[in-house]
Amino acid sequence: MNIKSLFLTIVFLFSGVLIYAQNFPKDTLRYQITYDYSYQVNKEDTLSKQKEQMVLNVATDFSYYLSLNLQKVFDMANNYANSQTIPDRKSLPRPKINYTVIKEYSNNQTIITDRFGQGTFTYNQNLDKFDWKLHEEQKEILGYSCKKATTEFAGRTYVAWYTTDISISDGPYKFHGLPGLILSIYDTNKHYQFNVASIKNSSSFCNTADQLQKPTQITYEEYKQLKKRYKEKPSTLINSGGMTFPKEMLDLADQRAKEKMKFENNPMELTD
Amino acid sequence: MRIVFWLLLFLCNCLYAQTVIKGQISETRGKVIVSASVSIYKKSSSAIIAYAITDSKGMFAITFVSTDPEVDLEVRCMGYETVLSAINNTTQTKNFILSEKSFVLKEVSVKSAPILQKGDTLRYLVNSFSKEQDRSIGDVLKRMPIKRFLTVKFYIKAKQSTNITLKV
Repeated sequence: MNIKSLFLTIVFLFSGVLIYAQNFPKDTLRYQITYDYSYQVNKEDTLSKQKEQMVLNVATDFSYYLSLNLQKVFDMANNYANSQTIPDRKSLPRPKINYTVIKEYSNNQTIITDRFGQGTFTYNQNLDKFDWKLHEEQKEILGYSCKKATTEFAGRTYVAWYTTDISISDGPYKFHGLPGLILSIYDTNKHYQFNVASIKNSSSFCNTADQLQKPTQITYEEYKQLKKRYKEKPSTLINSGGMTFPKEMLDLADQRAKEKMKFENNPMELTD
Repeated sequence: MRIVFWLLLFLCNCLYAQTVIKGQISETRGKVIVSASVSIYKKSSSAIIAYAITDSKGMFAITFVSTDPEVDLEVRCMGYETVLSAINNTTQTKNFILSEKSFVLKEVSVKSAPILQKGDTLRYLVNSFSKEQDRSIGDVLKRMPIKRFLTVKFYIKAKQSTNITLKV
Protein backbone atom coordinates (compact mmCIF):
# COMPACT_ATOMS: atom_id res chain seq x y z
CA MET A 1 0.00 0.00 0.00
CA ASN A 2 1.58 3.24 -1.05
CA ILE A 3 1.38 6.51 0.80
CA LYS A 4 -1.26 7.94 -1.48
CA SER A 5 -3.74 5.12 -1.07
CA LEU A 6 -3.06 5.09 2.68
CA PHE A 7 -3.84 8.77 2.79
CA LEU A 8 -7.02 8.22 0.78
CA THR A 9 -8.07 5.40 3.09
CA ILE A 10 -7.60 7.61 6.12
CA VAL A 11 -9.54 10.43 4.52
CA PHE A 12 -12.26 7.98 3.55
CA LEU A 13 -12.46 6.54 7.06
CA PHE A 14 -12.66 9.95 8.68
CA SER A 15 -15.22 11.24 6.24
CA GLY A 16 -17.43 8.42 7.42
CA VAL A 17 -16.94 9.54 11.00
CA LEU A 18 -17.74 13.10 10.04
CA ILE A 19 -20.94 12.12 8.32
CA TYR A 20 -22.29 9.54 10.73
CA ALA A 21 -21.03 10.53 14.15
CA GLN A 22 -23.94 11.91 16.12
CA ASN A 23 -22.88 14.83 18.25
CA PHE A 24 -24.26 14.12 21.68
CA PRO A 25 -23.96 17.24 23.80
CA LYS A 26 -22.55 17.14 27.32
CA ASP A 27 -22.32 19.81 29.96
CA THR A 28 -22.81 20.60 33.63
CA LEU A 29 -26.48 20.70 34.46
CA ARG A 30 -28.29 23.67 35.94
CA TYR A 31 -31.69 22.31 36.80
CA GLN A 32 -33.39 18.98 37.12
CA ILE A 33 -37.16 18.74 36.79
CA THR A 34 -39.05 15.49 37.29
CA TYR A 35 -42.50 14.79 35.92
CA ASP A 36 -45.07 12.11 36.70
CA TYR A 37 -45.95 10.78 33.29
CA SER A 38 -49.13 8.81 32.81
CA TYR A 39 -50.21 7.32 29.50
CA GLN A 40 -53.14 5.22 28.49
CA VAL A 41 -52.13 2.55 25.97
CA ASN A 42 -55.66 1.45 25.06
CA LYS A 43 -58.18 4.00 23.81
CA GLU A 44 -61.17 2.63 25.73
CA ASP A 45 -59.62 0.92 28.73
CA THR A 46 -58.92 3.50 31.42
CA LEU A 47 -57.27 0.78 33.50
CA SER A 48 -54.56 0.48 30.87
CA LYS A 49 -52.92 3.63 32.27
CA GLN A 50 -49.19 3.27 32.77
CA LYS A 51 -46.98 5.44 34.94
CA GLU A 52 -43.35 6.42 34.79
CA GLN A 53 -41.27 9.12 36.39
CA MET A 54 -39.49 11.18 33.78
CA VAL A 55 -36.69 13.68 34.26
CA LEU A 56 -35.85 16.81 32.30
CA ASN A 57 -32.17 17.68 32.70
CA VAL A 58 -31.58 21.31 31.81
CA ALA A 59 -28.12 22.55 30.79
CA THR A 60 -27.28 25.94 29.28
CA ASP A 61 -27.52 24.94 25.62
CA PHE A 62 -29.58 21.77 25.65
CA SER A 63 -32.05 19.72 27.63
CA TYR A 64 -32.16 15.95 28.05
CA TYR A 65 -35.45 14.19 28.74
CA LEU A 66 -35.57 10.54 29.75
CA SER A 67 -37.09 8.08 32.19
CA LEU A 68 -35.72 8.42 35.72
CA ASN A 69 -35.25 4.65 35.80
CA LEU A 70 -33.33 4.71 32.53
CA GLN A 71 -31.10 7.42 33.95
CA LYS A 72 -30.47 5.18 36.98
CA VAL A 73 -29.54 2.31 34.65
CA PHE A 74 -27.04 4.56 32.83
CA ASP A 75 -25.58 5.71 36.15
CA MET A 76 -25.18 2.10 37.27
CA ALA A 77 -23.55 1.17 33.96
CA ASN A 78 -21.10 4.04 34.46
CA ASN A 79 -20.36 2.96 38.01
CA TYR A 80 -19.77 -0.55 36.78
CA ALA A 81 -17.35 0.69 34.12
CA ASN A 82 -15.42 2.64 36.76
CA SER A 83 -15.42 0.30 39.72
CA GLN A 84 -16.20 -3.12 38.18
CA THR A 85 -18.66 -3.83 40.96
CA ILE A 86 -21.60 -5.72 39.56
CA PRO A 87 -24.89 -4.17 40.65
CA ASP A 88 -27.44 -6.33 42.38
CA ARG A 89 -29.82 -7.66 39.75
CA LYS A 90 -32.82 -7.08 41.95
CA SER A 91 -31.98 -3.44 42.46
CA LEU A 92 -31.77 -2.85 38.71
CA PRO A 93 -34.51 -0.40 37.75
CA ARG A 94 -36.73 -1.40 34.86
CA PRO A 95 -37.57 1.56 32.66
CA LYS A 96 -40.81 1.36 30.71
CA ILE A 97 -39.89 4.28 28.48
CA ASN A 98 -36.76 3.56 26.51
CA TYR A 99 -36.53 6.60 24.27
CA THR A 100 -34.68 9.78 25.17
CA VAL A 101 -35.20 13.28 23.78
CA ILE A 102 -32.40 15.83 23.47
CA LYS A 103 -33.42 19.36 22.54
CA GLU A 104 -30.41 21.36 21.34
CA TYR A 105 -31.37 25.01 21.17
CA SER A 106 -28.01 26.26 19.90
CA ASN A 107 -28.43 24.45 16.58
CA ASN A 108 -32.19 23.93 16.46
CA GLN A 109 -32.00 20.13 16.65
CA THR A 110 -33.92 17.36 18.36
CA ILE A 111 -32.03 14.11 18.86
CA ILE A 112 -34.21 11.10 19.59
CA THR A 113 -32.58 7.86 20.72
CA ASP A 114 -34.65 4.72 21.13
CA ARG A 115 -33.80 1.17 22.19
CA PHE A 116 -35.83 -1.77 20.92
CA GLY A 117 -35.18 -5.27 19.64
CA GLN A 118 -31.48 -5.67 20.10
CA GLY A 119 -30.46 -2.29 18.87
CA THR A 120 -30.28 1.34 19.88
CA PHE A 121 -31.14 3.83 17.17
CA THR A 122 -30.80 7.56 16.96
CA TYR A 123 -32.06 10.19 14.55
CA ASN A 124 -32.05 13.97 14.23
CA GLN A 125 -34.84 16.31 13.38
CA ASN A 126 -35.35 20.03 13.46
CA LEU A 127 -36.91 21.17 16.73
CA ASP A 128 -40.68 20.79 16.59
CA LYS A 129 -42.51 24.05 16.08
CA PHE A 130 -45.46 24.60 18.37
CA ASP A 131 -48.16 27.14 17.70
CA TRP A 132 -49.09 28.00 21.27
CA LYS A 133 -52.22 29.93 22.09
CA LEU A 134 -51.96 31.86 25.35
CA HIS A 135 -54.94 32.07 27.67
CA GLU A 136 -55.77 34.30 30.61
CA GLU A 137 -56.49 31.51 33.10
CA GLN A 138 -54.04 31.02 35.93
CA LYS A 139 -53.47 28.45 38.63
CA GLU A 140 -50.84 27.56 41.15
CA ILE A 141 -48.74 24.43 40.85
CA LEU A 142 -46.25 23.61 43.62
CA GLY A 143 -46.21 27.24 44.70
CA TYR A 144 -45.45 28.57 41.22
CA SER A 145 -48.14 30.64 39.54
CA CYS A 146 -48.88 29.19 36.13
CA LYS A 147 -50.60 30.43 33.00
CA LYS A 148 -52.54 28.36 30.53
CA ALA A 149 -51.61 27.72 26.91
CA THR A 150 -52.95 25.32 24.33
CA THR A 151 -51.53 23.76 21.20
CA GLU A 152 -52.08 21.05 18.64
CA PHE A 153 -49.44 18.37 18.36
CA ALA A 154 -49.47 15.19 16.29
CA GLY A 155 -53.25 14.87 16.18
CA ARG A 156 -53.99 15.77 19.79
CA THR A 157 -54.90 19.02 21.51
CA TYR A 158 -52.83 19.78 24.58
CA VAL A 159 -53.39 22.06 27.54
CA ALA A 160 -50.19 23.30 29.16
CA TRP A 161 -49.57 25.21 32.37
CA TYR A 162 -46.31 27.14 32.33
CA THR A 163 -44.67 29.52 34.77
CA THR A 164 -42.86 32.69 33.72
CA ASP A 165 -41.07 32.57 37.10
CA ILE A 166 -38.83 29.88 35.62
CA SER A 167 -37.76 31.32 32.30
CA ILE A 168 -36.72 28.07 30.70
CA SER A 169 -38.56 27.71 27.44
CA ASP A 170 -38.80 23.97 27.82
CA GLY A 171 -40.99 21.12 28.96
CA PRO A 172 -41.37 17.36 29.03
CA TYR A 173 -41.04 15.21 25.88
CA LYS A 174 -40.79 17.33 22.73
CA PHE A 175 -42.79 20.22 24.19
CA HIS A 176 -41.12 23.62 24.36
CA GLY A 177 -41.46 27.17 23.12
CA LEU A 178 -43.50 28.88 25.83
CA PRO A 179 -42.22 31.95 27.71
CA GLY A 180 -41.57 29.78 30.76
CA LEU A 181 -41.18 26.22 31.97
CA ILE A 182 -44.12 23.83 31.43
CA LEU A 183 -45.11 22.37 34.81
CA SER A 184 -48.13 20.44 33.61
CA ILE A 185 -49.33 19.35 30.19
CA TYR A 186 -52.04 16.94 29.12
CA ASP A 187 -54.11 16.19 26.06
CA THR A 188 -57.80 17.03 26.19
CA ASN A 189 -58.72 13.32 26.54
CA LYS A 190 -56.30 13.08 29.48
CA HIS A 191 -54.73 10.02 27.88
CA TYR A 192 -51.29 11.54 28.04
CA GLN A 193 -50.42 13.57 31.12
CA PHE A 194 -47.24 15.10 32.47
CA ASN A 195 -47.31 16.68 35.93
CA VAL A 196 -44.32 18.19 37.65
CA ALA A 197 -43.16 16.17 40.66
CA SER A 198 -40.05 18.10 41.68
CA ILE A 199 -37.90 21.06 40.69
CA LYS A 200 -34.26 21.05 41.76
CA ASN A 201 -31.09 22.98 41.12
CA SER A 202 -28.31 20.74 39.89
CA SER A 203 -24.62 20.90 39.18
CA SER A 204 -24.01 17.30 38.20
CA PHE A 205 -22.40 16.46 34.89
CA CYS A 206 -24.59 15.13 32.13
CA ASN A 207 -23.28 13.28 29.09
CA THR A 208 -26.12 12.57 26.69
CA ALA A 209 -23.93 10.04 24.86
CA ASP A 210 -24.31 7.61 27.78
CA GLN A 211 -26.25 4.65 26.43
CA LEU A 212 -26.03 0.93 27.05
CA GLN A 213 -24.80 0.35 23.52
CA LYS A 214 -23.53 2.62 20.79
CA PRO A 215 -26.57 3.93 18.92
CA THR A 216 -26.87 3.42 15.19
CA GLN A 217 -27.47 6.67 13.34
CA ILE A 218 -30.48 6.42 11.04
CA THR A 219 -32.90 8.82 9.40
CA TYR A 220 -36.38 9.53 10.70
CA GLU A 221 -37.91 7.58 7.80
CA GLU A 222 -35.73 4.57 8.57
CA TYR A 223 -36.65 4.84 12.23
CA LYS A 224 -40.36 4.81 11.49
CA GLN A 225 -39.96 1.74 9.29
CA LEU A 226 -37.82 -0.13 11.82
CA LYS A 227 -40.21 0.64 14.65
CA LYS A 228 -43.17 -0.49 12.56
CA ARG A 229 -41.37 -3.70 11.64
CA TYR A 230 -40.47 -4.30 15.27
CA LYS A 231 -44.06 -3.84 16.38
CA GLU A 232 -45.45 -6.11 13.67
CA LYS A 233 -42.82 -8.83 13.52
CA PRO A 234 -40.20 -8.42 16.24
CA SER A 235 -38.52 -11.71 15.27
CA THR A 236 -36.89 -10.08 12.25
CA LEU A 237 -35.12 -7.60 14.51
CA ILE A 238 -34.44 -9.87 17.47
CA ASN A 239 -32.60 -12.31 15.29
CA SER A 240 -30.43 -9.71 13.62
CA GLY A 241 -28.27 -9.05 16.65
CA GLY A 242 -25.73 -11.81 16.06
CA MET A 243 -27.51 -14.28 18.34
CA THR A 244 -29.96 -16.83 16.98
CA PHE A 245 -33.05 -18.00 18.82
CA PRO A 246 -35.16 -21.13 18.27
CA LYS A 247 -38.07 -20.68 15.89
CA GLU A 248 -40.77 -21.41 18.49
CA MET A 249 -39.48 -18.58 20.63
CA LEU A 250 -39.57 -16.17 17.73
CA ASP A 251 -43.06 -17.26 16.74
CA LEU A 252 -44.20 -16.72 20.31
CA ALA A 253 -42.64 -13.26 20.30
CA ASP A 254 -44.46 -12.42 17.06
CA GLN A 255 -47.73 -13.75 18.43
CA ARG A 256 -47.39 -11.66 21.58
CA ALA A 257 -46.45 -8.61 19.56
CA LYS A 258 -49.57 -9.02 17.48
CA GLU A 259 -51.77 -9.12 20.58
CA LYS A 260 -49.90 -6.23 22.14
CA MET A 261 -50.29 -4.14 19.02
CA LYS A 262 -54.00 -4.84 18.93
CA PHE A 263 -54.38 -3.72 22.54
CA GLU A 264 -52.03 -0.74 22.44
CA ASN A 265 -54.11 1.24 19.97
CA ASN A 266 -53.54 4.67 21.49
CA PRO A 267 -50.12 6.06 20.54
CA MET A 268 -49.24 9.55 21.69
CA GLU A 269 -48.47 10.80 18.21
CA LEU A 270 -51.40 10.05 15.93
CA THR A 271 -49.89 11.76 12.88
CA ASP A 272 -46.40 12.67 11.71
CA MET B 1 -48.10 49.14 -10.56
CA ARG B 2 -45.41 49.01 -7.93
CA ILE B 3 -46.79 52.07 -6.23
CA VAL B 4 -50.23 50.49 -6.07
CA PHE B 5 -48.68 47.42 -4.46
CA TRP B 6 -46.93 49.43 -1.77
CA LEU B 7 -50.03 51.49 -1.23
CA LEU B 8 -52.07 48.33 -0.73
CA LEU B 9 -49.48 46.97 1.65
CA PHE B 10 -49.54 50.24 3.57
CA LEU B 11 -53.33 50.13 3.72
CA CYS B 12 -53.31 46.58 4.99
CA ASN B 13 -50.87 47.61 7.69
CA CYS B 14 -53.10 50.47 8.72
CA LEU B 15 -56.18 48.31 8.82
CA TYR B 16 -54.69 45.64 11.03
CA ALA B 17 -52.36 47.98 12.94
CA GLN B 18 -49.94 45.14 13.27
CA THR B 19 -46.81 45.88 15.24
CA VAL B 20 -43.60 43.99 14.67
CA ILE B 21 -40.80 44.16 17.20
CA LYS B 22 -37.55 42.63 16.03
CA GLY B 23 -34.18 42.39 17.63
CA GLN B 24 -31.32 40.41 19.00
CA ILE B 25 -30.49 39.41 22.57
CA SER B 26 -26.88 39.08 23.61
CA GLU B 27 -24.84 39.03 26.79
CA THR B 28 -22.33 41.64 27.94
CA ARG B 29 -19.42 39.80 26.31
CA GLY B 30 -21.19 39.81 22.95
CA LYS B 31 -22.29 36.18 22.78
CA VAL B 32 -25.87 35.80 21.58
CA ILE B 33 -28.43 34.34 23.97
CA VAL B 34 -30.41 31.41 22.61
CA SER B 35 -33.88 30.50 23.85
CA ALA B 36 -34.51 33.66 25.85
CA SER B 37 -38.15 34.67 26.01
CA VAL B 38 -39.31 38.10 24.90
CA SER B 39 -42.87 38.88 25.95
CA ILE B 40 -45.18 41.77 25.21
CA TYR B 41 -47.51 42.56 28.10
CA LYS B 42 -50.52 44.82 28.20
CA LYS B 43 -49.26 47.89 30.04
CA SER B 44 -48.92 47.20 33.80
CA SER B 45 -50.69 43.87 33.70
CA SER B 46 -49.71 40.23 33.68
CA ALA B 47 -51.56 39.38 30.47
CA ILE B 48 -49.15 38.36 27.73
CA ILE B 49 -50.25 39.72 24.34
CA ALA B 50 -47.56 37.96 22.34
CA TYR B 51 -44.11 36.53 22.82
CA ALA B 52 -41.17 35.03 20.99
CA ILE B 53 -38.27 32.79 21.90
CA THR B 54 -34.86 33.76 20.51
CA ASP B 55 -33.51 31.39 17.85
CA SER B 56 -30.02 29.93 17.53
CA LYS B 57 -28.72 33.37 16.45
CA GLY B 58 -30.32 35.16 19.38
CA MET B 59 -32.88 36.81 17.07
CA PHE B 60 -36.55 37.34 17.78
CA ALA B 61 -39.54 38.81 15.97
CA ILE B 62 -42.89 39.42 17.62
CA THR B 63 -45.97 40.34 15.66
CA PHE B 64 -49.00 41.52 17.58
CA VAL B 65 -52.11 43.64 17.35
CA SER B 66 -52.89 46.09 20.11
CA THR B 67 -54.71 49.40 20.24
CA ASP B 68 -52.73 50.65 23.25
CA PRO B 69 -50.19 53.41 22.57
CA GLU B 70 -47.63 51.75 24.84
CA VAL B 71 -46.87 48.16 25.84
CA ASP B 72 -44.44 46.50 28.23
CA LEU B 73 -41.63 44.39 26.82
CA GLU B 74 -39.95 41.86 29.04
CA VAL B 75 -36.82 39.84 28.27
CA ARG B 76 -36.25 36.82 30.46
CA CYS B 77 -33.60 34.13 30.43
CA MET B 78 -32.35 31.88 33.20
CA GLY B 79 -29.01 33.10 34.49
CA TYR B 80 -29.50 36.70 33.33
CA GLU B 81 -31.02 39.84 34.73
CA THR B 82 -34.63 40.30 33.61
CA VAL B 83 -35.17 43.42 31.51
CA LEU B 84 -38.51 45.21 31.56
CA SER B 85 -39.07 48.28 29.42
CA ALA B 86 -42.07 50.26 28.27
CA ILE B 87 -42.04 50.72 24.51
CA ASN B 88 -44.19 52.55 22.00
CA ASN B 89 -46.62 50.39 20.08
CA THR B 90 -44.86 50.89 16.77
CA THR B 91 -42.90 48.58 14.52
CA GLN B 92 -39.27 48.85 15.55
CA THR B 93 -35.99 47.07 16.13
CA LYS B 94 -34.91 46.62 19.73
CA ASN B 95 -31.70 44.93 20.78
CA PHE B 96 -30.98 44.00 24.36
CA ILE B 97 -27.82 43.18 26.24
CA LEU B 98 -28.38 41.13 29.38
CA SER B 99 -26.01 41.01 32.32
CA GLU B 100 -25.37 37.70 34.01
CA LYS B 101 -27.01 36.95 37.30
CA SER B 102 -26.86 33.66 39.11
CA PHE B 103 -30.29 32.25 39.69
CA VAL B 104 -31.24 29.62 42.19
CA LEU B 105 -34.61 27.99 41.76
CA LYS B 106 -37.04 27.60 44.58
CA GLU B 107 -36.82 23.83 45.04
CA VAL B 108 -40.09 21.99 45.41
CA SER B 109 -41.41 18.47 45.23
CA VAL B 110 -44.78 16.80 45.42
CA LYS B 111 -45.63 14.90 48.60
CA SER B 112 -46.79 11.42 47.73
CA ALA B 113 -50.51 11.01 48.17
CA PRO B 114 -51.39 9.05 51.32
CA ILE B 115 -53.84 6.85 49.41
CA LEU B 116 -53.26 5.76 45.84
CA GLN B 117 -55.68 3.87 43.69
CA LYS B 118 -54.22 1.56 41.11
CA GLY B 119 -56.81 -0.45 39.26
CA ASP B 120 -58.90 -2.20 41.92
CA THR B 121 -56.19 -1.91 44.56
CA LEU B 122 -55.85 0.86 47.13
CA ARG B 123 -52.36 1.55 48.37
CA TYR B 124 -51.93 3.30 51.69
CA LEU B 125 -48.76 5.12 52.59
CA VAL B 126 -48.56 4.02 56.22
CA ASN B 127 -46.01 6.73 57.12
CA SER B 128 -48.51 9.49 56.52
CA PHE B 129 -50.93 8.00 59.06
CA SER B 130 -48.47 7.27 61.84
CA LYS B 131 -47.88 9.55 64.80
CA GLU B 132 -45.16 9.91 67.42
CA GLN B 133 -47.10 8.22 70.20
CA ASP B 134 -47.97 5.06 68.22
CA ARG B 135 -46.79 1.92 69.97
CA SER B 136 -48.12 -0.71 67.61
CA ILE B 137 -49.16 -0.87 63.98
CA GLY B 138 -52.73 -1.37 65.22
CA ASP B 139 -52.73 2.25 66.41
CA VAL B 140 -51.85 3.34 62.90
CA LEU B 141 -54.41 1.07 61.26
CA LYS B 142 -57.16 2.56 63.41
CA ARG B 143 -56.39 5.95 61.95
CA MET B 144 -56.42 4.74 58.34
CA PRO B 145 -59.74 5.12 56.53
CA ILE B 146 -60.18 1.39 55.98
CA LYS B 147 -63.64 0.07 56.57
CA ARG B 148 -62.93 -3.62 56.36
CA PHE B 149 -60.07 -5.71 55.17
CA LEU B 150 -59.48 -9.38 54.71
CA THR B 151 -55.74 -9.49 54.53
CA VAL B 152 -53.21 -6.82 55.18
CA LYS B 153 -49.77 -7.12 53.74
CA PHE B 154 -46.98 -5.12 55.26
CA TYR B 155 -44.03 -3.93 53.32
CA ILE B 156 -41.54 -2.55 55.76
CA LYS B 157 -38.07 -1.43 54.84
CA ALA B 158 -35.44 -2.95 57.11
CA LYS B 159 -34.31 0.35 58.58
CA GLN B 160 -37.81 1.44 59.47
CA SER B 161 -38.96 -1.80 61.02
CA THR B 162 -36.60 -1.58 64.00
CA ASN B 163 -39.01 0.21 66.32
CA ILE B 164 -42.32 -1.07 65.05
CA THR B 165 -44.30 -3.58 67.04
CA LEU B 166 -46.54 -5.78 64.97
CA LYS B 167 -49.74 -6.76 66.75
CA VAL B 168 -52.69 -7.36 64.47
